[in-house]
Amino acid sequence: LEIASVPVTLIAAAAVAAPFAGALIIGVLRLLDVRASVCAALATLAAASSGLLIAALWAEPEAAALWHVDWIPTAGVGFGVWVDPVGRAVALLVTGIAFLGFLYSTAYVPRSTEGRGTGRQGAYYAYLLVLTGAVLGLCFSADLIQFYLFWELIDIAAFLLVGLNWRDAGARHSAGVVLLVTTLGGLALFVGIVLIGSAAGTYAIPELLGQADVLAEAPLFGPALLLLVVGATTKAAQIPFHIWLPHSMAAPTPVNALADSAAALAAGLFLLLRFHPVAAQHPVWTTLLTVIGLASAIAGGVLAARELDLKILLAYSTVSQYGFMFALLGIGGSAAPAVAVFFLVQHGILKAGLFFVVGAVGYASGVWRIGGGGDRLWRRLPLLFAVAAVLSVSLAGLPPLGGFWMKESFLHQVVATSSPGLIGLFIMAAALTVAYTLRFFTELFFARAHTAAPVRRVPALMVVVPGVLATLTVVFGVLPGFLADHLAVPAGTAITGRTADLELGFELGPALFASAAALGLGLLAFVWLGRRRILDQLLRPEWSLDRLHRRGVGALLQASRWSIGLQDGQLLRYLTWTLVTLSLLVGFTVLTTDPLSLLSGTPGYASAPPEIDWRMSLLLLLVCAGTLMTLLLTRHVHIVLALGVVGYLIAGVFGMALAPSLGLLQVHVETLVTVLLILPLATIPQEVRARMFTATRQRLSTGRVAIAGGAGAVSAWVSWIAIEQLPPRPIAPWFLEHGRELTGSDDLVAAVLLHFRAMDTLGEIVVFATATAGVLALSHIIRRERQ
Amino acid sequence: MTPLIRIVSLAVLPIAILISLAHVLRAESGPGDGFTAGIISSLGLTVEYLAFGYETARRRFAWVRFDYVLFSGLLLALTAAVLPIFTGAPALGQLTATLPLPGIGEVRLSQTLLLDFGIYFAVMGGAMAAIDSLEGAIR
Repeated sequence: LEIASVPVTLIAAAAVAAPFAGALIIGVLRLLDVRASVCAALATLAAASSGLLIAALWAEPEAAALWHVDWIPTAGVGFGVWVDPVGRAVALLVTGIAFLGFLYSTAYVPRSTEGRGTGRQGAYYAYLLVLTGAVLGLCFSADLIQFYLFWELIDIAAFLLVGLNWRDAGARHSAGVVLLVTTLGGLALFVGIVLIGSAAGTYAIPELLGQADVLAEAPLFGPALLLLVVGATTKAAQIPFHIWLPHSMAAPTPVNALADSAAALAAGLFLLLRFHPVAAQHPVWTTLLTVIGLASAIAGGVLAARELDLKILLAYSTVSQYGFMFALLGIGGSAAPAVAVFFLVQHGILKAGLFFVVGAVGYASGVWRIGGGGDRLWRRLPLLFAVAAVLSVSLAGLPPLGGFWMKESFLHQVVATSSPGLIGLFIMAAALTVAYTLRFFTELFFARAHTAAPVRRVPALMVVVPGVLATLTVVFGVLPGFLADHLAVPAGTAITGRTADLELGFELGPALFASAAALGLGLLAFVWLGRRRILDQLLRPEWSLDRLHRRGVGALLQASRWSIGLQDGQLLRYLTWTLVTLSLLVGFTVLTTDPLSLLSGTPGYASAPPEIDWRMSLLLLLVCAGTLMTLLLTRHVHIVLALGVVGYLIAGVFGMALAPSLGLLQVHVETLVTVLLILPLATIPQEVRARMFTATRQRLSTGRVAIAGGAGAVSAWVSWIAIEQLPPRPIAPWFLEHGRELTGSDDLVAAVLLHFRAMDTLGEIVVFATATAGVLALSHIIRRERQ
Repeated sequence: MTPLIRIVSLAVLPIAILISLAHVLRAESGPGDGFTAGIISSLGLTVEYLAFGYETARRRFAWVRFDYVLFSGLLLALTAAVLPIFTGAPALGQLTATLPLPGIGEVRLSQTLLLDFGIYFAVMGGAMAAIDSLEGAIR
């Protein structure tokens, strides 16, 4: 098989397409009621083929390739595949963990209570595939708008996965939080993208990244970067948008392992890596990322150190670890992006492994919380204990494991570039990592309980999968250079343009000293925190941002209820609001603007007004008389008939003004409207109608009459201006001259309706259909309430 | 209602439908268009409703779901709008074909006919669905 002969971009596109294709097939299979295990096998296959395709990208010596086509050329938006070392590295991590996650799911989901036998296993695999595909699409997007679409797709997939067990109110609430927070970030990102894209004059990412000089000069570059950072912060669950991550733990554990440690959060970091070439020097970028990263690293560590729910503990730990990566990109330095990629991959491996362990232990023993009743689980689950030991020690940062190198290379950068105060804070954050990891590990496996539930046998796959990840963290601990040379350094070089040196070697220097200090402090903190519950006393529940979020959503709901309350079903009140608004807006516009200026911008539509002879005058007088009658008559049916007469008279006016099509239409519409008005009236008894009429009359105050009169006056005024001010360039002659030749239509009205203004016509029937849907819905409600 | 009106109404409906179809088909060569046609056909149906009463008329047309007619009309119009894109023309652009029909001569067909039929169905379906549901709600 000659892989090298196939274009690189095609391979990448196939890798993105594979998960989506898998999701589609699973969707069809679900309709056919196929067994869930088939869906699981298919999903695993899709992830595996995607992973192999991405691995094949390394066979190509040329690291970067681009395929790009126009999509919306008028807006400068395109569509394409861009393969570069950064996207390639993140994609490999994501597909690798996705593959392991699906493998794990085949054993876990059918058995676990988290799968909960909701009969939604097929949906689970399909959504998870969509999420994987969306992150891969993000990695290989060649255009910013395309990038944004995949970004939002991640949110939607995550929402569906968290709400998988939608019969549970808690899961629904959590899904809502996830969707709200992440899409708010998505909106910020979108505005940022548009600002940057319009400043650079292109949305094509490779081209845009080459325009660092132009962008640096752009006046709105700072705000745009702020918005990008907001987007990345929400997606990577950094302070203050970290609240969605604990909520996403409502999803089954394999989802947490994939989405909440590698895929979705990696997307946030990937955004930063993407824009790093143009943004790295900007003060907004460096300051924000350093502050947010540092705050997240420390706050995440503190929250993890006092959390009881094991999955949420790992979630806070993830917040903290991503904080390190954010701060790294903020602090900068030529090797920072390379170290961030290195950190990302090492962290993804060990954190996914820890999630898998928690899932397996939870399945076997029912222990999901610290103090949840497990009794010396290390004896009963020795294999999982060994795997967890390796992963935990790695996260704590002991050599020779992957986690040590990720922290060591990070501290190298910090020590080289930062002030002593900053270094101290980072050592503190690293010490917190040591403390909560030790707490997690010891509480999970060494806790004692008198009444512990019996431990179930764990399926082999559920041990093998975290075992593979533990092996990987050992391998990449012994041979960190392998990961650096093939993933991190090429990515870092692509971002900064200079070959990065990760300095992966044991040398007695400040970085090694910082590592040792973090370890020692962490051990102390673990002992100290374990003895007294200091953090619980320190952290008040009212500081929780989750609470703030709940308040905000509550206020929104309150406002919505208030605005619904305005619509109390009083037609008279609706009419008052509508007429007052109309009169004020239109009256204000007409008063403050020169009517000619309103017309001169666009070609007008009227030609000279028709001649008014005696017949026309008579008709118009009759129209006035009929209108007056509607005010004087005292029976609903009579009023409707009078309105109908007025309508027919106006049809006559149209006919005389040489607009036969319009006249014809007016006759038909008038007839139908009259029937439509009479029909419901006929079902109401005469006495009731009479009572309604007098009741309405009595409520006609002087104010209401004034409002109605004002609205009439304003519309009369506008009509008068329209007649009086002839448009400077009437459009009718042009239509008459070119209509036939351009449209092939013999009828000018049809030519205008179906060709020149076809978009308006289309819009009108959409409005019409929407209004009718409203009528249908309303009468449906009435009918339901009757029953 | 008198039997006479019922008989008249039975005659009115097919004529109204025929007139409305003529309106659509000849929209580009004379007065009238899909909108007018939709109104005319729904007027024909309304006469039936008035002559026989809601219950009877509704039973007679039980096989038509007017809300489906409305939304299929909308779909038809949107299809007609999108169709020209596939030939490289802009959306709502023109797409014509001349069809030789034996005995009649050449007939020029345009995708706007589809648009007009969409409008026709949407208006007719919408008006009738509104009457139906209002009646149903009031009763």
